[in-house]
Amino acid sequence: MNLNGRIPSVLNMPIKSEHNAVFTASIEELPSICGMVCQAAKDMGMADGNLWKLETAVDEACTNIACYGYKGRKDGKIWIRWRLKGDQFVIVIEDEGLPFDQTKPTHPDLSADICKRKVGGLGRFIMQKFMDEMHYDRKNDRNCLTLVKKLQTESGAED
Amino acid sequence: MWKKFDLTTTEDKAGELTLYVVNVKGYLDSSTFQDLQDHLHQLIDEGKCRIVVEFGELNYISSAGLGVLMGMLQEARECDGDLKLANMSSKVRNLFDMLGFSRLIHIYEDVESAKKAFLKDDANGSEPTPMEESY
Repeated sequence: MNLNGRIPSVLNMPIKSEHNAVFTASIEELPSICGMVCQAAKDMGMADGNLWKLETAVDEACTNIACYGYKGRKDGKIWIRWRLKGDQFVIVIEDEGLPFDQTKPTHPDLSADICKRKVGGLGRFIMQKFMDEMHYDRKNDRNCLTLVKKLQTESGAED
Repeated sequence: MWKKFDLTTTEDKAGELTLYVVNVKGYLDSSTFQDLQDHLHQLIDEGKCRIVVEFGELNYISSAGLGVLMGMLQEARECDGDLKLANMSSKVRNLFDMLGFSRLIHIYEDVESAKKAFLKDDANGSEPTPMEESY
């Protein structure tokens, strides 16, 4: 096979196994969760312009789990797995809270008068705007949220 | 430590007007937004309703932080003041633009520009400066 000296990017990628961690589902744990995920993504080569979007999406997802999924329960857990798939960073966030599909479309009213505007729901909207892909599944009494973000944007520039 | 949050407030002047510059540093998210909310509440409760929130050292803001700012904006305006934002990084600005918040809240390149806008508001009888004059 003649590739004219080019190597398909997926073959050129170092093979990364899946990593995982478990956290207490609390607001106080968010800095640790986001810090760990962002460091992993950075180590895998994610551009700064994508990194903060990933951080924001993970923050919003875990906030929703802690505040709404577990309804403030102190013994809730968040299981996190992440891996590199080609040029994409894939993270799976699981919890045993109430069934909650964070990928459901949300259309917050962004044009209403400030006095009538509701800020709630913005987190999901931000996640959907910032991620390349989002998937939800409910299995074994767990919410399984998968977030996918490319390491680099198409142009190589920060988006 | 991965995330830090701190805020300081200084009293400032724009002509004869007294205003308050709140410098927000670090990460404004669901674990820290309450500090900012309490702080801004206290200022407004004391009648200190002309507020500039300075974002020069803000690294990150989540929807929880945005919620505080939009809520406090409303309260500041209800007491004839305003809450103006200054010195925002491009990524934070990106978020405000994406959510349409930059049409509702006044954003300026720096604190001096925000102070001038307060002077203009005062000259206009406390009417907020039209959006197109914002940064």
